[in-house]
Amino acid sequence: MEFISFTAAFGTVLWTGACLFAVITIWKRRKTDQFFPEHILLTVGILLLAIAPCVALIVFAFGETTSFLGGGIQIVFALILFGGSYRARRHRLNPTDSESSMSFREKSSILVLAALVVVFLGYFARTLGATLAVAIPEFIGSVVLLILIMIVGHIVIAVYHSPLDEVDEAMDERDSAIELRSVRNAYYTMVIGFWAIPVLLILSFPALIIANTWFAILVLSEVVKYGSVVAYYRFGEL
Amino acid sequence: MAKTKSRVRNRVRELRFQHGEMTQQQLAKMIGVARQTIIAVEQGKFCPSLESALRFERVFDVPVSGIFTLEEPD
Repeated sequence: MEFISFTAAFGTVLWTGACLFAVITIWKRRKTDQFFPEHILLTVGILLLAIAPCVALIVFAFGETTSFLGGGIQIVFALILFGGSYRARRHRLNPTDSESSMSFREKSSILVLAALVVVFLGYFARTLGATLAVAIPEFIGSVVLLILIMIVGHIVIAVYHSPLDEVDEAMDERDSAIELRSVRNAYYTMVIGFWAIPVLLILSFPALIIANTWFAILVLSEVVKYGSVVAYYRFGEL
Repeated sequence: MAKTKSRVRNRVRELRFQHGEMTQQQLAKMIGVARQTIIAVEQGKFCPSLESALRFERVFDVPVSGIFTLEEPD
């Protein structure tokens, strides 16, 4: 009972602190040119959320599970609110010239490149010499892991990318030029790599090796694509 | 005829400061590109399209030839 009460009490304190932090953040920005009418709505929303700890205190009177769940949910939402407020403090609409020259697209490409290399190097290492029964679940697991890394990674990049406005920016002519060149490099890799398939077929290699080679060529061309994107953004002269 | 690589130089950074110390972000919005593209142009890493060059002309009120110059190799 004491542990459960602690969870709810901790959640209540954390949530109250997060709400205060958010309100102070908005209050401090009210006289700057970066204050928008939407902030008023946000303030009202936060004040409404601030009532939640009071509700949670009443929940103490009810069962242990309710109290534990209520506290847990409060902790999670409090952390989100803290993160959002912290991000709002750092957010500037007019970035200075000395601000990071790395665009959101560039950061995203680094993430995709790293995720592809880490996830699929692991996959190929585990399925080398394995049977189809082992390889299929490994393949599905790797794809799911890749999707999860992409989702979580992009959320983290978007939250901490400064300035935040650049996250939504449409592709411009430099982005398009880099994309085109990178796709061209990936295409060459794929076309050359696919010649390995008929050779393996002629030499009567097992189906799994042929399938994995085909898949490795696809992964390699994606690695070349994103590697090229990163290289062109960093060092390329277009 | 031997193919030689020429280089396009620009005065974007200089003109930006001459126009009320305009920030890269402000210029990027006027031209319709990302701030990173302005950085790349100023560093000579990216040569903008003709359309963007004409926008530079409009923003700075300087002819394209006064912003971008072709540097021929020796």
